[in-house]
Amino acid sequence: MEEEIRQILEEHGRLPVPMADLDNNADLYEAGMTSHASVNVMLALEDGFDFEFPESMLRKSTFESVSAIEAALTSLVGTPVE
Amino acid sequence: MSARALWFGPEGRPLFGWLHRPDDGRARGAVVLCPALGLEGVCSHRAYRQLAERLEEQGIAALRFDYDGTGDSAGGESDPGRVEAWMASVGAAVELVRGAGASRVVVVGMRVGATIAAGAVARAGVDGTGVDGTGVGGAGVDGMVLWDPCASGRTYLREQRALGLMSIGVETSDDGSVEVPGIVYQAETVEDLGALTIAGTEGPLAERVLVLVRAERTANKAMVSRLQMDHVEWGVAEGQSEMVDVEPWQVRQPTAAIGSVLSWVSGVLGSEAGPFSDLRAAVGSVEGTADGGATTETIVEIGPVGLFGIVTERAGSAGGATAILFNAGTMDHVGPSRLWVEFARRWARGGVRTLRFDLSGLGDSPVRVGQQMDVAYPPEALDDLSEVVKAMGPDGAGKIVLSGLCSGGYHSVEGGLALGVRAVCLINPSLIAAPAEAHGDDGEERAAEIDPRRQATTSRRKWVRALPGHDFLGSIVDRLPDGAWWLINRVAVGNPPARIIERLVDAGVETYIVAGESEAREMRRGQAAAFRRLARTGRFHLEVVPGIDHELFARVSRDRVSPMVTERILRSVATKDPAHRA
Repeated sequence: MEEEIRQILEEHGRLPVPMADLDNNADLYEAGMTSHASVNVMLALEDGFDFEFPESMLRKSTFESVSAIEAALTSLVGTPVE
Repeated sequence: MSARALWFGPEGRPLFGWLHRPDDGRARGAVVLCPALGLEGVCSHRAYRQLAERLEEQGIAALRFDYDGTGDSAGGESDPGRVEAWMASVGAAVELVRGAGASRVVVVGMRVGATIAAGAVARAGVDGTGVDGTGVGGAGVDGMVLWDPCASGRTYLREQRALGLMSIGVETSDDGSVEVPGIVYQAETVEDLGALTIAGTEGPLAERVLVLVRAERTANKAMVSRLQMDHVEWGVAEGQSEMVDVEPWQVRQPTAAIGSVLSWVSGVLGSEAGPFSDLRAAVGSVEGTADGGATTETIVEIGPVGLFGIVTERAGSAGGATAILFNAGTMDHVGPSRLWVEFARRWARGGVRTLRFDLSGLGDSPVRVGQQMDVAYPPEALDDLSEVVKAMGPDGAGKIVLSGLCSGGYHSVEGGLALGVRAVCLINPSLIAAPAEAHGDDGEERAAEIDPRRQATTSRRKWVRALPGHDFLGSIVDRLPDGAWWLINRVAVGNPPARIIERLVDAGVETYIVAGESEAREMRRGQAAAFRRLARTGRFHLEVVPGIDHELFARVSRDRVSPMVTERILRSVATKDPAHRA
């Protein structure tokens, strides 16, 4: 799951730094991800994992780091695949 | 080129549009450009204008327009029957170009504009009436371009809702309405948009269809399946994210996609041209009143370059005070969240004639010779304001009130100092930004010469800008306490905000500022005592409003600021102009 999340962030997060330079707890907004980009990340995650975020999870904190995204996905689609 | 703004459609509730007509009065056909809604519409405004101008150069007429209740058109977002009215607007637009002489018509829709256009065209094709209600053209139109279409109204709402929640924190309502940045859709609209899907349309849509999708997004499966037909071509909406997934001031034009649409449309319309009428309708009646009166909006061109504007007034208000609104950043004359249109109509009801216009190089105004387009702080704005104030106040500037947000606030201050207007009304004014000429091509602030006419720029002194690493220094000093800022304002800053406002007040210009907490803090830092002195003059008023976003994209921000500004504008006019007390 982590690798897929990182791949999606690399393609849709429009970050000025490579994802490889950011650890799982790094703040993606501080790293340069915009609100617009986080919407694209949200849509790509929904496409990639075939689910839909409930509105209650549509907040910045859900997408602020790889770990936060993984926790959100785990709560919605199940246990992360190792 | 001969683009003309005009009113069309239902009498008493007109639609606003720009008709681009080839110079020789003949057209190979016409293209109706259905806009995106909300922020996406703001960001794609320039692209549509560029496409229309290039179509016109190639002998093709083009109509840009605003749906009922959006942009400059009559009506509002809370009116009933929105989706039906938007689809009817597409029909009225097609009817206009057919009536002008276009025998072949292509409809282009951007984002949810594509969804609305597809709905309108498909329905007209199925019931046999034609999209313009005349039955002309069989299925309705000869070509259709779905430019990065939203698969449904629901996907549009969901994306914009997510953006609102993750950026400005739009509110959640339990009445079924949905707030997105800049707009609140009522429950009925939400329901109708939810039912509007491209997959749910029937028929061929048009003789030929082009669908441009983003390479980086997965296209909706149901939409793709619905559009798998021989007459449907697919392409890439190049540069789309750089246009609509950014703030309005960061927009980059999708040149390649514009070229793709242009080339495809040209192929659909063929080479044979026919006469195309020169339509004129400069005055629209946008609101009726119980006493049989009306609020009219008159399209105007001002000064030697023909700056574009719209004057809103009630019968009998001519000769009184005039409020002038213009661009906030690079957003057009409609204003952030369409606020300038709402202000103009509200203030006209209160007896204040109001002009909303585009500075040169922005929105729908022309570009001056040598001027760069879409710059928020152009030095040419000084010329623009001078020409506009002269046009609206031929007997002097004493009845003129300038009002603007962000960069519009800054320009209002420059106008106030240079032209001696009655008052300025500033919303989150940007009084600390460096002017356009102080930036290099890379956007970095340089030690360049600032236009000597500028009186209100607060950028760092030239010697500071010449220091190596001054931007790094800037990021450090931004965190300093007020006491340190007091010193910086004296040594390194050209014109601190309090000094600028002091000059404005001394010149007799009533100055009213509405600012959010962070904007007020930035404006006042190191100058608390000076601001207290200003307040004691009675000619300066600062309202600090907690919890508002800078551009007023959130409803709560508009709800808090709009009444304050309206009350101040009406009071300012009534106090100094007895003719308006009645």
